[in-house]
Amino acid sequence: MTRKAFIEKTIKAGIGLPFFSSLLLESCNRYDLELPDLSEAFEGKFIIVGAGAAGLAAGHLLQRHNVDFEIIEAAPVWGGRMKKTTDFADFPIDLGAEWIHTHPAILSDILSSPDIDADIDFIVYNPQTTQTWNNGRLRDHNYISKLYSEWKFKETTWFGFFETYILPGIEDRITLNTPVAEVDYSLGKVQLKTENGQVLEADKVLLTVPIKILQSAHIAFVPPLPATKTDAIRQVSVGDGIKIFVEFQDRFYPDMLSFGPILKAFREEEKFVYDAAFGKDSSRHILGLFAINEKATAYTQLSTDAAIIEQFLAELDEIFDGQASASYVQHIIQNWSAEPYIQGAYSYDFEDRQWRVVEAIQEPVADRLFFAGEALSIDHQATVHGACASAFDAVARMLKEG
Amino acid sequence: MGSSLAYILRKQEGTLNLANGDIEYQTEGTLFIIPRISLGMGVAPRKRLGGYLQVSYGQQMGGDVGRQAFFSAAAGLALRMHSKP
Repeated sequence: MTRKAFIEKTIKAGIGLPFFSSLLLESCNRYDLELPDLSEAFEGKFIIVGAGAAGLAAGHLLQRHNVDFEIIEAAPVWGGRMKKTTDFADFPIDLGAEWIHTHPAILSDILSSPDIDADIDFIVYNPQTTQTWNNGRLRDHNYISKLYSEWKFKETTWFGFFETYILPGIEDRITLNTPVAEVDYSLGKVQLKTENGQVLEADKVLLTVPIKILQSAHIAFVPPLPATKTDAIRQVSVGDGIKIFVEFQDRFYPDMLSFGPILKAFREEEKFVYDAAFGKDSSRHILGLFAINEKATAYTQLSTDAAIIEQFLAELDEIFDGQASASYVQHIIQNWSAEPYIQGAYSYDFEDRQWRVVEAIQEPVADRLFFAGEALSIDHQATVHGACASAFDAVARMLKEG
Repeated sequence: MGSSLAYILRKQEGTLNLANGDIEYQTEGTLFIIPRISLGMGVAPRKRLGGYLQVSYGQQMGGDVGRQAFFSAAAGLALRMHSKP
């Protein structure tokens, strides 16, 4: 069930505030992510396409089992939709995935390294002041603090977590700037032809590229993927995505501000403004904007960053009586729709039942092509830990079907 | 109508041991004053024992966390300590 579907069901069931309650329920339940038992030896060569959370998690698992693999990434940086900036504020800022949407012990599960000697600090993300902006009125909804709680990293980021604990073991296996143009699985092995003219060969390939890339036919498949799979890929809805961070001289905003009537705003969870320094050891006033789908398109359709920040500040000025422009210091924009190898936010909705779509995409092709990513986690879709879970499942399948 | 004082402990942050997933939380207490309006109904003690139900709505004020609505419900026993003359 998608998060959106779950939220809708909670409304129908009258459980209460949907977005918050769904997160609260999700947060309360510890999700145990178990690494698959990979006792079987595999002699062949694996290639992982994509160095986002799923690709890196798959590499982390394969490296532990001494499997011969490499990771190729189209972009000049690894991380996918995990990205950070360290020079904007006095704490690192997640320009992509930011919240830990389940119990933080998941971080230990992802590493699954009982010998590791390290602690990590996190914030209990429980905004105390919440407001909505609806029909020109700003309203307090501070009671939300009793209904909603998640977690965030205190001193690092999702990118930093992978950089510190996963990358060192696999960094030498990653090749950047290597976009795949064609995947030929017509023979016994899989041939990957890159845009740089290279031809790479593997026994099995794990594709962890964003769904949007599969939808855009950026990669040609020889022979074409089965119609059931291409149909399923088409049935995943991925909209625009943008994050904006603005530093102000003064703090004039609540911990969290959502748009529209409170139930609708949090059910759709498509746009909100928040205190990005919440719980951080920071003396700076950093406000974040998170927007996806049409709410993001309102910004991403603008031609320049200057136009985007102008529109955002005008919006804040209307809400907070001109305080935004008066207090503005600097900003940073992360337009995920403009990233050539990302092209959007994350999986948001499915035309058919989610499990049916996901299973069709997950289904290996010719026992040689496998798929993983945030969209392919049935229970934890659209999250980093969901991407990792999907990668672990795919690796288990690859080795089993070897 | 009435008011209460409440001392609320809240988990602010934690430290996760990456080896075993154990977490140590740091909590912080905040003192709130809660002016409230209550509505109740009860059964007066016939001899010595009675009971009541009460619901309250108030505003939780204090700390640096902004005002928050406060709801409570209570069920209680009423005791008659002295017999009427």
